[in-house]
Amino acid sequence: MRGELLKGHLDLLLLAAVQSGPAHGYVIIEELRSRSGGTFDLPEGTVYPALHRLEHAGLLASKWSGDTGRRRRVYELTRQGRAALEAQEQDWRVFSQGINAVLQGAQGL
Amino acid sequence: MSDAIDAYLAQLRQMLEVSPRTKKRILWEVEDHLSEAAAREERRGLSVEAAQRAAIARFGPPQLVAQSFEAEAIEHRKRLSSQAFFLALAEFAVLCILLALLTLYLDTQMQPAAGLNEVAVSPTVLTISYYVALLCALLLFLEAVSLFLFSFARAEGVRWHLLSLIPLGLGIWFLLLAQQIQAATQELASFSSVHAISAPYRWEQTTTQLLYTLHLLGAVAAGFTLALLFLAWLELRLKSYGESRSKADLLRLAR
Repeated sequence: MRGELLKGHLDLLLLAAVQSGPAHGYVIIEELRSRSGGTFDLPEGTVYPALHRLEHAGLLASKWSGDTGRRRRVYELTRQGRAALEAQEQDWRVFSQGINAVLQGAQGL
Repeated sequence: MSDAIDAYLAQLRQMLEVSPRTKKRILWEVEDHLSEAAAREERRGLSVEAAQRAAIARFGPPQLVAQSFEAEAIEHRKRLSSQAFFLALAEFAVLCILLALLTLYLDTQMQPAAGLNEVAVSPTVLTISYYVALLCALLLFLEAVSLFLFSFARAEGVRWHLLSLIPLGLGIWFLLLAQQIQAATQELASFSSVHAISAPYRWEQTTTQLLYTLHLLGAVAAGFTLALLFLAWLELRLKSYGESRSKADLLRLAR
């Protein structure tokens, strides 16, 4: 999928990917890839700055974790992040329904 | 660890222009990611070297990664500096209002005294002045911290750091003032106990003039700061209005 098209929605996707529980960067990226059936296959290195940005914005919280024997930075949703995810999800649903409706209309012509 | 990942990390370390603490965290996260990705590729049957190359290729060129991190660091600093600036401005506004209120209050409380160059103030006025002076000192110290954070986040060199010395100096001056007022209160208390009468404290006329000046300056500075805060608030409102408008337009189009 084209990078610039994905970029505008990366925040929503990342928030959704950590929704199920705390996860480190690699798992978040894998989650994105597998859930999208391989559609969202972006340069993995650009996901980390986005995670840092969401953390600075207070939507994600992160801490070092050594549960697996390896010291890792683990991210999770904050309360503010959960609210932002719900709001963005709702906006996206309305938006995508509209786009789909228009596209289906165009096909029917 | 391996040569290819090592070399990639060394390149990234050289290219990243962020604070040492952030750099350390980034390198740790990248190393963890690359090792895990390479291990996964190895399990799929690739050789160690090919697995590392594949992991690095998926991660992206170091220039791109370094640029993304830098862009985020700059944005973060901008946000921090504007927050610190608003905080400093708000503290200044509170300080000015406090000084203006105090001087207005003192105006109503001061009586002409027997001596030509003196005015009389009651012990209550002294106590209130003491606490207000302490509060002003505290506000000025907070102001110094906010200004330091502002200049630190802007990262524009030492001369901006010096800016925070002004409120720091003024804060110390207010602390000394509070100490003087406390001494005056004690003097008044011992006078009252010796003579068994409650007497007002006599302030010199020059003090009153100083207070009038403070009153005027405080009111003008408060007005100015409030106007600035209002303008800043208006700008933020307009910006978010613009954003929500464009979002609403999109949503309307979608419907």
